[in-house]
Amino acid sequence: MMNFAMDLTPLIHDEKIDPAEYVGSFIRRFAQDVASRIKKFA
Amino acid sequence: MNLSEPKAEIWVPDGVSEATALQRVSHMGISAHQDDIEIMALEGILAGFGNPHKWFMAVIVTNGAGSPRDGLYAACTDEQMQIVRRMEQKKAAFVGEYSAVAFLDHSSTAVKNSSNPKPKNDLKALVAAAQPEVIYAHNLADKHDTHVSVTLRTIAALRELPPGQRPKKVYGCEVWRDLDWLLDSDQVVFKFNAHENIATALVGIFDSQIAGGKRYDLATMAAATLMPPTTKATRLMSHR
Repeated sequence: MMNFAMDLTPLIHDEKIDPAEYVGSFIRRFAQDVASRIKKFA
Repeated sequence: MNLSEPKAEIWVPDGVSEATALQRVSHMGISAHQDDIEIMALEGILAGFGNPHKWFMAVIVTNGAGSPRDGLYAACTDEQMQIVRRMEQKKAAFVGEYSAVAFLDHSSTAVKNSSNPKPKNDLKALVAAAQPEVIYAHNLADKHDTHVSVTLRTIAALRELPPGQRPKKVYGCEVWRDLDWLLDSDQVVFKFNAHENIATALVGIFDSQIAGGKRYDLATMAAATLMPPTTKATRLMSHR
């Protein structure tokens, strides 16, 4: 069995990190990965 | 410990004192609803199962009043459903050998109100008392408003603690949106090679949420064993 998680630890050590921006960074990296793969094989 | 809601409770399955139960906690799950914990914090639960050196504590932030109900539970009032769901969570805590389970008993509305300090203050007091090494929370990409709100209150609570009382790790876990889309480099992977029977039993205890044929217990275990995505619990669970 397995399941997945995201590391939220940086959010509790740096109060300047905005939670929405933090999660947005995961989403942007995902979007870039998808886009670059499509571009590579298009 | 004084918690803000009059019906809040800290329940200790093996009957040691509340202080002892809190002091031995090494892993803590903080969820919006009863039964979320058993889906998202299995790593912490199984770390403590049968292990005298590691102890898991569940913290349930809402009262479960708005739960869906069908079959045996179709006629239950909101008050009755709160009792049913609290009892189910206690059964899971006993089977999973938790150190304790805290029912904070806030309404979903109260948790979603960012200007209401009570949920945050309760979480802060519990974490300060237990000082877990690891906390399992809802992930911030979850699509349930209350799940996201509980994690935001958790982060706010942890930020107010002195650095020495904060956990070493905080994980945002899957319940109502999967995280298999994360890049490999961004993923935290929890693998469970033992006690699959206990994991299955824990999810199956929550009969009130399974009644009516949703069987999200089976879907959850299928998802955890990498069955096709269409079987995943997050697509079957009804809105709470």
